Amino acid sequence: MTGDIIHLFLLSLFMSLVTFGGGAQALFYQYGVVGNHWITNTDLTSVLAWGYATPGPAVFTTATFIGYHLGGIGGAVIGTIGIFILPFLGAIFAGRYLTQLLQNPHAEYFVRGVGLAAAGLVAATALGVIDYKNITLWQVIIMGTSCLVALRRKINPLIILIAGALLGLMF
Amino acid sequence: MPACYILDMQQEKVLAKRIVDYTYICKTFLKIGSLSFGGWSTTALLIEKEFVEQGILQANGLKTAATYAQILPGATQVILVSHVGYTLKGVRGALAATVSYLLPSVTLMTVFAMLYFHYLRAVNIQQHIGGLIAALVGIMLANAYNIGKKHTTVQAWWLLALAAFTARLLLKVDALTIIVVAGLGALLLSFIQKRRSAS
Repeated sequence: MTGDIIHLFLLSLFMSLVTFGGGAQALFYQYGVVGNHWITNTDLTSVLAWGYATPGPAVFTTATFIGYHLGGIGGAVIGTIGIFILPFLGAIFAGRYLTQLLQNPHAEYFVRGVGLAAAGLVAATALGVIDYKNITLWQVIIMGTSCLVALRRKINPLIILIAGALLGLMF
Repeated sequence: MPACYILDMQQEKVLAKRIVDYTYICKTFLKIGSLSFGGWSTTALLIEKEFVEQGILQANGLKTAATYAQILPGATQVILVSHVGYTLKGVRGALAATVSYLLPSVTLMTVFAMLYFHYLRAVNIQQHIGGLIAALVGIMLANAYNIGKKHTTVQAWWLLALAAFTARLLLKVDALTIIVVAGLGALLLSFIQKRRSAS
């Protein structure tokens, strides 16, 4: 168990280093569900739904969730520190040391490439969590409507999730 | 996120206009952390309201933090909050701001994990939350589009997102490999374009 927590800590550090503006969902799926079998696909969808419905950095707190599963409150703390410590340090040191690097046009391209890859990965993760054997027409409609509403309206994701859950129970 | 948050690096003279104490930083970021639903732009708007409009932080301070948040890896909100905290009160200010900001979401997630692993997981909730998962997938797809839109306005670049999508979903390529290849590919393209424009 301790080994798993250390592994989670190191993976969280690593994941925080390779996510530029998004894409952490794909990495949690890759390393939490498929790679290490710490959580199941159902666990991931549940935690992401909860994350989107709560304030703060929704997706990243999945490390807290996995950490709790692996080692209780202590594991949750270690998972949380692992995923947030490097962005914290990066923000502090950025002003002193990174200004020149960030002005470099090549760095801008790199971030753009990684960001767009993250967009593709998030979409792939979204479609990857669907249970295709049991999906219904109503669920497809809820999916499409939720996507459109989230794109076109500045609406709290919690409301979309509650509406989706209620419609799902009704039909 | 309004375009005005894109930083002009030459203007970077980040100064806190008024001295605040740690209690104020903790209290305010706790409030911001409790209200930041729906992405990092909400956090930026709340910081603007609580610090810039109150005359505590110069607008450039927020712009700088927002720029770093968009460029540096990791949780965007945390970079934003940490940098603002650092601007206000150095390393301890960054720590106070970050911990206070994260406290609500991490507490809620820990409580959820406790309930989930002790009670909810035993029930096969997947059968009952099909609509919720469908809505989640819709939100994630919208999120994917917004991430891509944030990084480019040029349509041709979307091919990169499509390639990443295909590689992951259909070819089951490792997510990290895709990220690294995309980053290095874009870097290579940048060098090629620079060489072409030079010649």
